Parts: sequence; structure tokens; C-alpha cells
Amino acid sequence: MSASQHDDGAEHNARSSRVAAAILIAFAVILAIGTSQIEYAFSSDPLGPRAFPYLLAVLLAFCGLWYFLNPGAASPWPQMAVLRSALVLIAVTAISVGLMDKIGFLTAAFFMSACAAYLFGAAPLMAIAIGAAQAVFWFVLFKYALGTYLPSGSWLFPG
Amino acid sequence: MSLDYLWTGFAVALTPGNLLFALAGCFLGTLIGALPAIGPINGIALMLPIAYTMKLPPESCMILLAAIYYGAEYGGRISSILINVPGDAGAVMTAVDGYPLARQGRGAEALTMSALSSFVGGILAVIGLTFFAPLLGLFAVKFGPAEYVALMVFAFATLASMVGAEPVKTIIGCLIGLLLTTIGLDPTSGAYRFTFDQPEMHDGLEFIIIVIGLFSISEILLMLEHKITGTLKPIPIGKGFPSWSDIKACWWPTIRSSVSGFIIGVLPGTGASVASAVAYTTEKRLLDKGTFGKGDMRGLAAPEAANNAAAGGAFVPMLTLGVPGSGTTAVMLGALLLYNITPGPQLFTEKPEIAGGLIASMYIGNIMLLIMNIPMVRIFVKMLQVPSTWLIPTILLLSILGVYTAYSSVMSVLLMIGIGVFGWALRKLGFDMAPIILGFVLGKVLETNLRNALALSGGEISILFQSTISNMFWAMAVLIVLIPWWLSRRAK
Repeated sequence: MSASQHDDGAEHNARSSRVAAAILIAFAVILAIGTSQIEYAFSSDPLGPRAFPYLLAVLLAFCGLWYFLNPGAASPWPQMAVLRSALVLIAVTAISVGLMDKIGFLTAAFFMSACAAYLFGAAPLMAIAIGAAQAVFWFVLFKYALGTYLPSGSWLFPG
Repeated sequence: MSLDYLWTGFAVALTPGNLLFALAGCFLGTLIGALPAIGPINGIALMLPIAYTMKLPPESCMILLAAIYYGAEYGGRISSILINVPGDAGAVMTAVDGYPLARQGRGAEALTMSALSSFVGGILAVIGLTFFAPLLGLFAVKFGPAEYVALMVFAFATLASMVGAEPVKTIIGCLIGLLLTTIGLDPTSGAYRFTFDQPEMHDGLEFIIIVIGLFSISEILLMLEHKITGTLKPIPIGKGFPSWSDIKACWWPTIRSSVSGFIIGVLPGTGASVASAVAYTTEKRLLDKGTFGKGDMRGLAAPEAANNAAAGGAFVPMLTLGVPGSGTTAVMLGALLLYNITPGPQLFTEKPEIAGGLIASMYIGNIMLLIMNIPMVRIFVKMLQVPSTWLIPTILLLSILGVYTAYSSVMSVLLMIGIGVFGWALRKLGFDMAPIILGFVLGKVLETNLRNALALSGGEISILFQSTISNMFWAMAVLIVLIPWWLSRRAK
């Protein structure tokens, strides 16, 4: 849909498409097994809760097979440097969010946005400044102007 | 039907106080809508208690909320077009052509075109609402489960044509979306499906979590990749007003999409997302010469006209039957009930100041939005020139805030991040995100109605083909799949 996914020279990369198709087929099988384990005593309709997922699993398996045989175009596998940066960003964000109730929204937001700013090319001091500014701005806007609940952090403000 | 209620309404809506509420609502709505992830429904839900505690009279409260509604509808397009993060389901199709336009430096033109086609869609819908509301209310009641199944199949049939080159990826996307709807408690049988014994999963996946994950987080990761490989280019701002030939090219798509959008909007439970998908795919079928999806103004104007027309259409069943046509009108219905006002056909005769005032304020609000937004386009589009070291942390924090404020749960935010990584992988493989979202939005309606229909008939499949309305949709679904196939065979 977006230009960005095609403009990096979408090379014909059949192998990663085939791997994805194989995962899809395997997933359809797991889905069918999972569906067979849905427990229910009684359903007021003749189809019951299993019919729809079964139907989806069958269609998914067919599409996966078709995709495997006609892999089509995919973007090239990302470079090592990209994967490393992406991993850092995802990890820092996930850990900050995971600890948000304890370290508070302000601290968590600071770590996330400083990390993102740094990865997008800000100098370290600038990244810290951006992180602090972003955290304070959105905290004040959401907490005081919009009146939503944001955690202050049970480690910072116990009790 | 006499239009007396409308004149009463204009007299109410044109008082200085109510004009001010409409203006404030449009402005606030645009701002709320422009924040990614805070769509119209959250905007209204946030404002309703404030309006109520201010002790506004009911008609002023409805005028304010309705103004926030269409202000947010318009504001949601800004993030959709400029940064590919739709504010709500109705804006998903807007990003398909809007975002490529912004990348080409035509963001300002795209925003102006979106304002223009939204205006046409919005105004046509209010005109439809004025003249046909009671009549259309009766049409909407005729929609039983079987008719909804046929409508959903028709919507999926139009979707299958969405991405020309690799339809199998579109279908897989739809299936993934449909599958996501099955997670959680199945209300018909009380069975828990794919919840892995996690209490958080019992209510199923929330729409906002999926939309923000798939669009916003995956977009950040894609931009990070472009940054590292050195392909992240600054975007030129370009001129502010679309060319005359663009406006002319968009004229018929806008009119067609407004009409179809309004009719789909009238049906309870479908609304803006189906309307914009049907409008986009119809125009793509009719007009596409390989430019749709790569930044075609017509591909932007069609869904914009349709979702605004649908937003207006959604008021028909709410005002005439008390059945909300969308999540947002459901909140507004709640507001009416808060004032002890029960909507229904008698609303137009017994409380003309409310029904009429609301409808009159929609005419005024649409005009206000157009006048207000075209000069503001130049300001919004400056967003594109914010350096990525500032813009990306903003998108990241807003995404997290959008999910956290909606569900107050850290688990939901982590789930959203996980879905975003999954979306990144899919986009690298050349999948579009829009079919997944639409599959997710339509899936619940399809499954529930299919099972309700079969429960009514005791398992007899023939119920799906018994009414004229459903047969009409089945025929249209078959035609929309067969005609292009037949045309391409003839061309060979």
C-alpha cells in the first residue's frame, strides 16, 4: 500500500516468501488443532463456535499453498545493522512499557523517546534533551489537559 | 413529511451560543482527531461528561458532540495521510492513496482534497438525512441476519479486487483479520476461543491495539530501516491547492461514493469502514489504470466522501429508531438518554429543537469545517518537515498513550508492540495492512449474523437467499468478481 514498502527496489526474493508460506500452512494446521480443542457445552446456533475457525483454517491452508507455489515479490531481507537497531528500539520500548507502573510514565517515556531519537540520528545529548522534552510535554497534556490516568510510578512514589 | 422541525432547528442552531459550541466542537474535534489513535469515539467519550457537568441544555450538548464527531472525522485524516497512522477504521482506506501522495510532496493538496470531498460527502448525507430519515429508518429495520451476511460477502468480494498484482496476499490478509476476531469469549456458546487461559484475552483483541500496532509501530520500524540504509528522504511540502483537473477528476467518484456511503452508513453496525472500503474498491474497479494505491487523488477522494457520508447516515437509525449505526453514534445515543430523551419517529414532532437543531448544526458544522480547515492545511503539513529525531518519538509516545489511555493496561501496550513487529514482517513480505483491518472489522458482523441466521432457520442454509435485499447483494457480489475476469478474457 505505502510507497515505502516497494521503493527499496523490491527484489524478487522467492525464498523468504516460501518460508512465510510454509509458516502459514503450519499455522493453519495448528489453528485447526486448536479449534478442535475449543470446549463448549451447548450452543444456541447450529454452527457452534468451531465452524468459523475451521473454515478459516481451510481457506488459510489453501492460500498458503497457492502462495508457496507462486511466491511473488518481497523486499530483500533487512541488513544486520537494521535488525540490530530495530531490536534495540523494540527491547527498550517493551521494557520501559513493562515497567511503566513501577517507574512511572515520565521515566518510561523518557527512555523510549530518547532511544528512538538516538537511533534516528540525534547526538547523545540531543537525544536526552528530546527524550525529556517529549516525556514532559505529553505527560502534562494527557494528565492535566485531557485528564487521563497515567502512572506516577510505585518505585518513585511509594504508597 | 413537513420540514417544520428543520426551521425550528435552524433557529436553535443559529443562536450565538450554539454557533460557538459548533465552532468549538469542530476545532477541538479536529485537534483530538489529529492525534493518532484517538478517534472520534474517544473524543466524544472524553467530552460527554464535561458537557454534562457544564449543565448544557440537551440541544447544545448534541450540537457540541456532533461537531466534535465530524471535526474528529476530519482530523483523523491528517495523521492517516501524513504519517500513515489512521485514527479510526474509517480512515484506513484514506491512507492507501493519501500516504503515497504525502510522500510525493503532495500532502497539502491531499489534505485540501480530503477536506473538499469530506465536505461534499458530509453535506449530501445531511441532505439525505433531512429528507429521507424516516423512510430510511424503515429500510434499515428490514435488515435481518441473512441480509447482513449477504452484505458482508459483497463487501469481501469488492475487497478481493483491492490489490491487483497479488490477490492471494489480500485474501490472506483478510483471513488473518477474520481470525483475530475469533479470539475471546464466543457470546453464542460461552466458549473461550484461543484465549490461552489468559483473562486479558477473554474480551478479545481491541481494534485500537491492532490498528496502532499494524500501522504505527510497523511504520516506525520501516522508517528506521530507511534511515539506516540512507533512503529516508526529506519530503517537499508542495503547493496547497489541488489543480483544477484533479478536482474535476474527483467529482464523480466523490458523488458516487457519497451516495453509496450514505446508504451503507444507514445500516446499523456497518458504517464508515465498510462504506470507505466499498467506495474505494468500486472506484478502483471503474477507473484504475495502475495508479490507485500509488498516490491517486481519486483513490483519496472516494473513501473520504464515503466515510463522511456514512457518518451522517449513521444518524438516521439513531434518530429515527434509537438504534445506533456506529460506535460513535452509540455514545451520542447514550448522551440523549442521559437527558431522558428517547429517540424515535416522534422525536421530530415532539422535540423539534433537538432533532432539527442537530441536523441544522450539521449543515453549519460542515461549512465551518471546510472554511476552518483549508487555511489550516498549511500548518498541518508542516508536520512533515519536523525532523525524524523529533517526529518518531512523538509517534511512538502517542501510539503508546493511545492504547494505554483506552485500556489502562500495560499488557495491551505490549500486545500492540508485538502486533507491530508482526506487521513489519508482513509489510516486508509485500502484504498490505488494510485488508487485515477490514477483515477484523467485518469478521464479527459476518460470523455473528451467519450464526444468528442459521439459528433462526434451524440450520437451513436457504434462509440466506430468501429476501430480495440479500439476493441483490449476492448477485452484486458474483458480478463484481466475474465482470473483471470476463473483461480480461475478452481483452486477450
